[in-house]
Amino acid sequence: MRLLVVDLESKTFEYIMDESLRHSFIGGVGVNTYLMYRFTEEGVTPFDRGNDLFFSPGAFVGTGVPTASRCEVSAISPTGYFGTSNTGGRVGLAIRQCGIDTIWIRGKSESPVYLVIDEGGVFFKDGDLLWGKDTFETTSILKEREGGDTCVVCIGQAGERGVHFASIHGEFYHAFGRTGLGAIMGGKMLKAICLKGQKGIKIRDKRQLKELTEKIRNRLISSDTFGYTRRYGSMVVSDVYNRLGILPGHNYRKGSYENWEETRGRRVFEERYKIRDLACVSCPIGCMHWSKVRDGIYDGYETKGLEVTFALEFGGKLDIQDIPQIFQCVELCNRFGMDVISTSSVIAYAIELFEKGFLKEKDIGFKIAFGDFDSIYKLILMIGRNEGIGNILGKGIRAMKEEFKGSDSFACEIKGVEMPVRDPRGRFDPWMLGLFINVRGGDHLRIRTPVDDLKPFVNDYKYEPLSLKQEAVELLDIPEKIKEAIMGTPPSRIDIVAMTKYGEDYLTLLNACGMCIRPPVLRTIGPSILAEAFNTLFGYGLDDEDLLTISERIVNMAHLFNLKRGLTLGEYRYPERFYSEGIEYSGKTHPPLDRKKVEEMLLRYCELRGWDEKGQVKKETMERLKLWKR
Amino acid sequence: MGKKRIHREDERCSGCLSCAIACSVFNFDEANPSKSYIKLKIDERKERFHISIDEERCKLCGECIKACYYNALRWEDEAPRS
Ligand code: SF4
Ligand code: SF4
Ligand code: SF4
Repeated sequence: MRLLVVDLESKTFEYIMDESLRHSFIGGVGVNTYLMYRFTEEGVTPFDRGNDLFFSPGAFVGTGVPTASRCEVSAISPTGYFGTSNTGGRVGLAIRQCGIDTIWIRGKSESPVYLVIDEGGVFFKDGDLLWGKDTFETTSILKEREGGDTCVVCIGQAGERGVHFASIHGEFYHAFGRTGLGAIMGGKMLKAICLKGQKGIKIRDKRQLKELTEKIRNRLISSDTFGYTRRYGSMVVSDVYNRLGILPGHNYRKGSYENWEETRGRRVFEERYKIRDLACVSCPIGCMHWSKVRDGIYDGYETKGLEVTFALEFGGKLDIQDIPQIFQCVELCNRFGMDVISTSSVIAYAIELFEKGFLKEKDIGFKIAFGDFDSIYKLILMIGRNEGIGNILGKGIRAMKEEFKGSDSFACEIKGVEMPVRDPRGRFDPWMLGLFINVRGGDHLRIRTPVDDLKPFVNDYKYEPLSLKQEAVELLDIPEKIKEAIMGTPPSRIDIVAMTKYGEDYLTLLNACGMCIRPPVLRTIGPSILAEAFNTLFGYGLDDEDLLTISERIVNMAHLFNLKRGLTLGEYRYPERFYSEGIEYSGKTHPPLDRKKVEEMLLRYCELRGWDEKGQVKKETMERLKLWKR
Repeated sequence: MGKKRIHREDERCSGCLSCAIACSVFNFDEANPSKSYIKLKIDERKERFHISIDEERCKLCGECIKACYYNALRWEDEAPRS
């Protein structure tokens, strides 16, 4: 692997070659995790000059392997823990076209700077005139200046101002959203990176690669989830969430809305807004869309979307009922460079604080309410501009709850990261156990399973029924031993804890390879095909078990990194609300979670991971995964 | 008999670049959309794409057509797929 190390202080750069990184850590999140674990000095805090920022495309990105487009950025998050985020689009390819596998950014610049990188090296350019510009303006200006084919990665004003959930953007619409790494980039005064390389990736055996590409593509399109995913994108699940009563409505107090399907459902999106299909590099699924508003005051407005996350956050959590208004909120977040989930979560928390009298009208300057687009829009503006109450909201829920004593129960964050998109009470599955176990904290994209499903069942904290059709079960690519242990013989139910652990290893592997995690991938692509692809591209003879061992190594390294920074199992929990209140939906109630049973599940997870009951990594696990040193 | 031509429909293009990567792998043993005979001009702000082919150099191998899962490419004498 070829790493580009850029020093923002001395304005110098160098290349490091290290082929061993590929077979020990694969790429993407794997390489970032290793570099952070190995090179972050003791005691470094998020905004210190020693908090390095890493961009690594997954190992298969740019080679044509279907869906391999994803790129990972990592650094210590403003939360103090391991921060990491992923995006698709063309950024990963553009990095590899500069002839490199990782961009490693060190130090802090004294004044705003942007980088221009190509296959020859790095130019450091004055970023003064860009400072203060939003992500759309910055991207447009830099494309104009550096040439239209330049791929631009940048931050908006939120990153410059240190908003704790600031994002990094690639090419307008692709956000590295979660864990606030835009603020870290802003702290380095690094406004943007322009990628201009035109280098190719040498292919060892094009015939073998072609066969493999066709095999992966055929599997993806034979999944029963393929057609729906193309047609609705992530919006495919919008209606189901409402029917199941697992929406995060009004800060997790309303699991469904009577008018959801007519206002924020997948059919409304498809029939009234969607106009074209879009895809990330090398992806035959094409879950993304271009949309147009055709009436009302936003008539003629066009944008990318609608992602279900936007619908569930601004539509679900905050109850904005009009899709064009949801588009406006998202665009504002994109322009400032702020994570949509965290932005809508801090606002939901603020509105509940206001309803309960913790916050007064005079503190804000106006009244705020769920469903009230105007006040919500104004709050987003205030967060992005660090104005008034926006200053407090911009620090995130964990810091806010220190100011509003007595509000912990409904402060919906985990490990400092705001909780996303769905309520665990209506369906406690590996996905929801993973929501507080995964390394990022309150997040839904780091632990998913090949059998992710949304059929209703009564929580029993042990098993989830397996409701996939026989054909879909046959397409699963899970090592036989693991499949039996988790699902029984013949596969009939899912051991939730065991699947959570597997789901974390599996997603880490997909991420390290640069693969997407949409349902057609989850259902058909697993460790054995990934091993085939890895060997085809790099020539190592690794098998599915080797890859899963590498994944475990990555997961454990990130965990060790967090333990060193003070994380304890005490933070592996849902906010109090979820254990003491039920959630209403369609005239019914999902009961609160059973705290004791959830805690038992956590302990069993630790056991399966090879951790002790305090979450410390046991000596034998360290040895098995070669974690002492590389 | 006239030369075969590849029909392109920008409106259907998803921007996935699979065609360009396939073309470069086939012709140069390297994955490199900057080098391929089929190219995309991309307007990122509007996510619009214009597909062009260097017809002088194109080998008419059809790899790009096989790689396209959005029906944006087909042989001119074949009927459009839906
Ligand atoms: S499925 Fe969607 S998000 Fe995933 S790579 Fe394809 S277009 Fe991108
Ligand atoms: S037909 Fe022409 S443009 Fe298409 S892959 Fe072959 S050489 Fe490239
Ligand atoms: S493969 Fe098809 S959809 Fe993808 S970029 Fe080429 S023409 Fe467009």
